[in-house]
Amino acid sequence: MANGTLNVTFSISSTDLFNCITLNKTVTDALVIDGTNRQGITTMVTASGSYLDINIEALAGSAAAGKKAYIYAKNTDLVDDLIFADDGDQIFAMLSPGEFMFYPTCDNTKVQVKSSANTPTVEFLLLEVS
Amino acid sequence: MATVNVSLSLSSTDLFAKQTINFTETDSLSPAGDQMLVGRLITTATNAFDNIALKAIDGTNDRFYIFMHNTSTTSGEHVKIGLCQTHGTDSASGDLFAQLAPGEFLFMPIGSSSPGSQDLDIQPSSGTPVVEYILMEKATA
Repeated sequence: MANGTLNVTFSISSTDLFNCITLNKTVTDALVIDGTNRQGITTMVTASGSYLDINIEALAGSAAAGKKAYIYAKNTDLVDDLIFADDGDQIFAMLSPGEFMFYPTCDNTKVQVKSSANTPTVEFLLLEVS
Repeated sequence: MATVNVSLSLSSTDLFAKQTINFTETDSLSPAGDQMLVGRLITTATNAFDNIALKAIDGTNDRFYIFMHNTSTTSGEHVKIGLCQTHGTDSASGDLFAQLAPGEFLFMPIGSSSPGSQDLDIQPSSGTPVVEYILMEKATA
């Protein structure tokens, strides 16, 4: 599988978070995707009981801390939270309705998600790095 | 209450033969906690842990937004990001959830009902890369 490139841009701004400074920052990056597991934009209905894996196969790359993949996820629901946990069921992120995240996961064979209640939908993209 | 606007754009024409990635997400955040930080940290040493919060994150489920950027341009200067269950303590091996290669960034709403997320720490794999970050606590206790 040929390498691909993911272009990412993130911007953050605020005029009233601080009195003495204004926030206005944009960062960009061109990420090389060379892993064996590429999952395009996917939606999945979650539940509040057991976790569901968002990765189809175990993350296995050896780069740096290992098992690295870029993950975008969004909570498309209007009411309930999404709860993300690592391969040890340790919770590390909580997305309120409408919130999103983008990060390079590592050191875990899987990323799991469940809802705080009901069946909100998670939208995600997962791109493994070898 | 302050308003923080964030946007994320992802695009690619060569990841998939039949799917082009091209979208932008935006959100308007309203962090209301009692800890808001803009920081620039020269990491201490290879494999040393540096905490980023000034005090314990509190509020229900210890929730906060974090933007973090590894500004290094030196190959191999990765930084590992770990969840600190208690402020003032280092993360353990099972608490590692992200790593930033030189130039990489992350944006996440952190939170944990178990085991807790009162802080994050940064551990460089090599050198002393500089990490910039914005931490915004979501709510007070």
